[in-house]
Amino acid sequence: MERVRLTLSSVTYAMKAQKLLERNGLHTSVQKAPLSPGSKGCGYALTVRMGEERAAKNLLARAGIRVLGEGRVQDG
Amino acid sequence: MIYLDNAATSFPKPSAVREAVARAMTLYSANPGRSGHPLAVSTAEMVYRCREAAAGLFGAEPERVVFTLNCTHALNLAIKGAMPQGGHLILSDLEHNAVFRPAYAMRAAGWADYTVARVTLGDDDATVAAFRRAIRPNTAMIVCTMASNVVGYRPPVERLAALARQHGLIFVADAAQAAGTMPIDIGRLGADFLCMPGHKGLYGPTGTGLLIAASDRPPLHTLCEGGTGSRSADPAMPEELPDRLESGTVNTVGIAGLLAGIQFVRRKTPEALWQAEMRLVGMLYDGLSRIPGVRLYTPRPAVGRYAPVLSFNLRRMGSEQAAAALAARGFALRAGLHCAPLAHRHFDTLDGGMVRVSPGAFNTPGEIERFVFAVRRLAMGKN
Repeated sequence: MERVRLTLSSVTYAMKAQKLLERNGLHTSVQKAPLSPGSKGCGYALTVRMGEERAAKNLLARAGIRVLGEGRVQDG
Repeated sequence: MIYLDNAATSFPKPSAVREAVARAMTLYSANPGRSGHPLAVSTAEMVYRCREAAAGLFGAEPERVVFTLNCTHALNLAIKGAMPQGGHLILSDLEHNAVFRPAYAMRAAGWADYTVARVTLGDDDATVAAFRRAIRPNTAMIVCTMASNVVGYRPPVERLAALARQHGLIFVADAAQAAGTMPIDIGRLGADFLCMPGHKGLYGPTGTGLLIAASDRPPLHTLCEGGTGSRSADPAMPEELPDRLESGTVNTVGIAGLLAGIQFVRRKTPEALWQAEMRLVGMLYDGLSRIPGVRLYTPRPAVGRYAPVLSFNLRRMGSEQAAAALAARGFALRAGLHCAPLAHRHFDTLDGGMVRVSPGAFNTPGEIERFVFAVRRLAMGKN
């Protein structure tokens, strides 16, 4: 199953974001963000179920948590 | 041994703290915020739980809780990190060297200047006026202890924070003797930065401390740069807390213990701990004040205006000699200048120091009675 990966600025913000999303019923998992051209390297991301990314991003935006990037990832 | 040196570090630690440290050596010994494997992620989760616990205790946001080596490290980060070149700092005349020495070093380096403002015990108006008189056009910061590590006195920190705000100054609170010992909310206090050890009133292991920021302003210059596990391709340190001030691997095992310590304090509540420990200090003061040849330096300490720290001297012997004699009788204390020469200058004890007694959560009234008895015999010249 495909999930959406939301890249955050640090592991602390990934943890903060995870707690926020899970309090609001969104299942997440924390993983290292992949390196990509133009990125500053080394970061952490949350994955959310496909279809829940908009709700997730809205919650994060309201909490002042910046999402630095977005991508798709396969489960497993 | 009857341990009465909790102002130096708390002892014993709660069993939950000891167990957490032991568990962490197995369960949380990966490097948090570096790798993506399950052990690293679970370690990062534990570290975050500690940030959350500290944030909950002090009214802050978890991401503004920075782990440090100790309170001195936290104070150096805040004081030197926020002081602009050519600036001026006001500190109280009760400060520990963790505040005084950074100020002195900045002056010696030609970076910034400082003024020591007198705290008048029992007269908050006079104290605030002294700080107000010290303000100059280039004053950037006020730093004040929340409780003296020599006599326990709590200056009017909320009013000093308000004074700082009124003049656009940064306020740094040294909570070394206050964190965990009394209720603190960084917002209600009005401080920009709250600095504390993890190993005193929070009952965590040595090697832990916290710097808590009220907001993202002012941004702190870094004193140490290195790996943060984030934005590694950027040669500059991240701008966001906590990464900006946490370069290198944090003390994960210590943080596991600190988490358990904070949970202990939250269960007991700082209010209840303060009441209980000040009852012991009251017993101590009442007992010592009846002993001929004992000199005390404050009025009877009360909850609200004192932390559980009390110092005295015996007229017939020096402070170090008295502490050694009491150690031989099974009492763990600290004598001398307590790394606080300014405070001893305030009380005119710079030449001889004082004997400091600081009960904690695990001391009992019976232990205080035994201590007073021992001091009485010592004062009378008996074994």
